[in-house]
Amino acid sequence: MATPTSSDPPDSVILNKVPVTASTVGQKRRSLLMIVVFTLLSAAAQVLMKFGTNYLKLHPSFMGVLTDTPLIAGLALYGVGAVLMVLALRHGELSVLYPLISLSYVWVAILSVVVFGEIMNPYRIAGVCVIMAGVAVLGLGAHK
Amino acid sequence: MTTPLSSIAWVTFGSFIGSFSAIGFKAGSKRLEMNLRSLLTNWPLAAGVAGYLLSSVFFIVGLKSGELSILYPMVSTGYVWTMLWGHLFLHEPFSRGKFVGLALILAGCVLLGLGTRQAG
Repeated sequence: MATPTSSDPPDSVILNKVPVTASTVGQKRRSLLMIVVFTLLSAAAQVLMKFGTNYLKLHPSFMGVLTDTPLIAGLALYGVGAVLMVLALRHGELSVLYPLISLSYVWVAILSVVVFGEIMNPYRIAGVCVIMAGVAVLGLGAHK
Repeated sequence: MTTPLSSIAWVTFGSFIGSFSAIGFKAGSKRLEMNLRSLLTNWPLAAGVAGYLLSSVFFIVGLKSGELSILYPMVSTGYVWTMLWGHLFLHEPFSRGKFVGLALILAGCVLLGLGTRQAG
């Protein structure tokens, strides 16, 4: 064990390094937040797109696509979400972010029932849970 | 409303198309620079965006006559293809974790498929 000498940096210099680690922790936290926001945005985008396809069924034409506000809004939101995800993946760890990405399946399942009155049964709930586990495991496996 | 098999086919085909765009994004991200000229001449990135848009068209066609709660989770079948392309084109190694993950995703999709036949 080395004894402190006058050439060792003073405590204040060592403490100066703390903000560096704090900022990476901050970056990781921001990545987590971005991913959670991404799951909410993509769930909202899915609901908008589904609304959009209902409109499209009433106006099945090219003009129908161009005037389909919910569909266009849904696609735009989807794009914003994708950018957010790419930004989050730059600084965050895949093994943490992937399990969080699968949160979007929970939001979509809830919104499908609440907004569109779709049904849930044990098979469907099990299916969503197993897919979520699969996406999470995929993120863990990506590290090795 | 139930989800016909044709809707599931449209959505899974869209996910197959979308899986190529992941390779475009990855290849494009390597030469990514934040100026307009290099963004516009970044052809793998452009191909990725185009693939992404094209896959949404198939998704929307499927969504028109199916349930969101069934079709959205089925987009995850795209991960299977993405892993295959990652291995073939980018030489990303396979791992046991990846295979377990993909098996779970496919099993989940089968369960959802069974769930469409059963009323709540």
